[in-house]
Amino acid sequence: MNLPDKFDLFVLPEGVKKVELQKDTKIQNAALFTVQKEDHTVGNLIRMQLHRDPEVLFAGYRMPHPLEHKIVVKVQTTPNSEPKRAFNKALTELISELSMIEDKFKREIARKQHEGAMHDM
Amino acid sequence: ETGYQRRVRELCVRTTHSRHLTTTMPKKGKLPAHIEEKKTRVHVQEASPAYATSWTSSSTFKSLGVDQSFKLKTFKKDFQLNVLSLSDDEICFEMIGIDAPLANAFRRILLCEIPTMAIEKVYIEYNTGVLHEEMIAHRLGLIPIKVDPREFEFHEPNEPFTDIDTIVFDLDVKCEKKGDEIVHSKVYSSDLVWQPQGAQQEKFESNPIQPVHKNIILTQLRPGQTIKLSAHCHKGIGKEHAKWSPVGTASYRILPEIILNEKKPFLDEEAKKLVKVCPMGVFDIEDFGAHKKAFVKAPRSCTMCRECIRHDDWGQRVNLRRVKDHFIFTVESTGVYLASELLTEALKIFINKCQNLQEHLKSASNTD
Repeated sequence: MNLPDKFDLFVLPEGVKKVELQKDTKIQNAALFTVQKEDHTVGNLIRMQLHRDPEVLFAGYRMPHPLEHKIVVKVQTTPNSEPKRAFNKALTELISELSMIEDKFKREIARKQHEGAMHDM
Repeated sequence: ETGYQRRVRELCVRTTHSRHLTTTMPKKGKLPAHIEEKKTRVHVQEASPAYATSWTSSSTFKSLGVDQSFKLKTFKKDFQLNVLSLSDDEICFEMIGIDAPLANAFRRILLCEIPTMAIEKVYIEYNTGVLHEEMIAHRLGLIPIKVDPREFEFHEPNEPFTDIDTIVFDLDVKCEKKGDEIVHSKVYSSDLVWQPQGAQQEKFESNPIQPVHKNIILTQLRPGQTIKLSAHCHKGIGKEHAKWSPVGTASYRILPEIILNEKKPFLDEEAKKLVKVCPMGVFDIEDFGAHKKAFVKAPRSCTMCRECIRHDDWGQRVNLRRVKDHFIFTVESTGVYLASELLTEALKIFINKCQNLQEHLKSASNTD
């Protein structure tokens, strides 16, 4: 009865923006990104990738409430960069990492299947 | 003190000083061995694991002159992927050089973000069996349907249902007594008859749509009882309901590493006791001069039961560790996708997610 629809976990309602940016008024080069309809799968990964950027001073994420499906990512960078650029860079790096993993996986599967075929012969 | 004695004394001080420096200062760009060990290994001790967090942040070891920032080239060089075993249903592979959040993200996506087709709406005409309608509908939903979900599309809300987003199955079973024999006392998933809609007849002519397994018992009937219903399948993802999950189970474990202290080896009786105590056969005995010594034969089969560090003072002599960046995945498919296709699909969805986020990030506005 009180259970929210399961598709609320990933369906973005009308008029709601997926990513919202809120600049921090008190700290230089710091911003709060609110990403709707995402969870720890992406959140933890973006946080990890942001940590590996030397321009990022602070990066953290949290899910304010488990029943509200959004994550909040806080990023602070050195004056050489800015939070939006760091976030974008993290996503780009993730995409290139994943493409590389995809390539390697395809090659390994092909090799393993070839091996299996040779074995059968 | 003579001049000679003074020179000898100064020389001794200088050499000991420089020796002291070289043992503590690491080579340029590399971490000292004891820190490298804590960074790359989880130490599993009797009380609890230690050094389990990852120190992969770019600035962690800046003061030691080690730069850990992300470089695609370094990642490409360090990353390894080996397929350990492959069959239609199950794949076991290992990934070396990635971090825990990445491995966990794969596991989560394999479990609940790869779409499949499953029975969603059941229109029951009559059911005089013992099992009530919602139970039958629940069981029908959990049946894996052998069709490529990529041929179908998600049903948009408020849109009419078409042949591109719905598969229709009919179930019409009557339990009867034919002479001495009782027919159809068990209703199987093979009793679901596919009703091709629109263009589906042509499209799936060569491989008709059917459940993956024919012998799933849905319910049981007695003579005179009938079930007649029509079941509609839609495309969905595991997040919404577990019936749409394409994997039976997707899990990973981190490579165990066991190191025996060479200065206090396990010999003879102790070695035999060590080999006996381990339930997974990790240790074995080899010849060591006049004695028999225990060595680590199969570290991969270790299940971290900690038996080998529980007895006597073995906790100091057996080093039970895990290699933090080595993940061994075991993925079992329900039969909808081939095991080899699952990770490719997961990666595609993952990359789409990140690209989608990038698009939305561009249009992210300032809210103050």
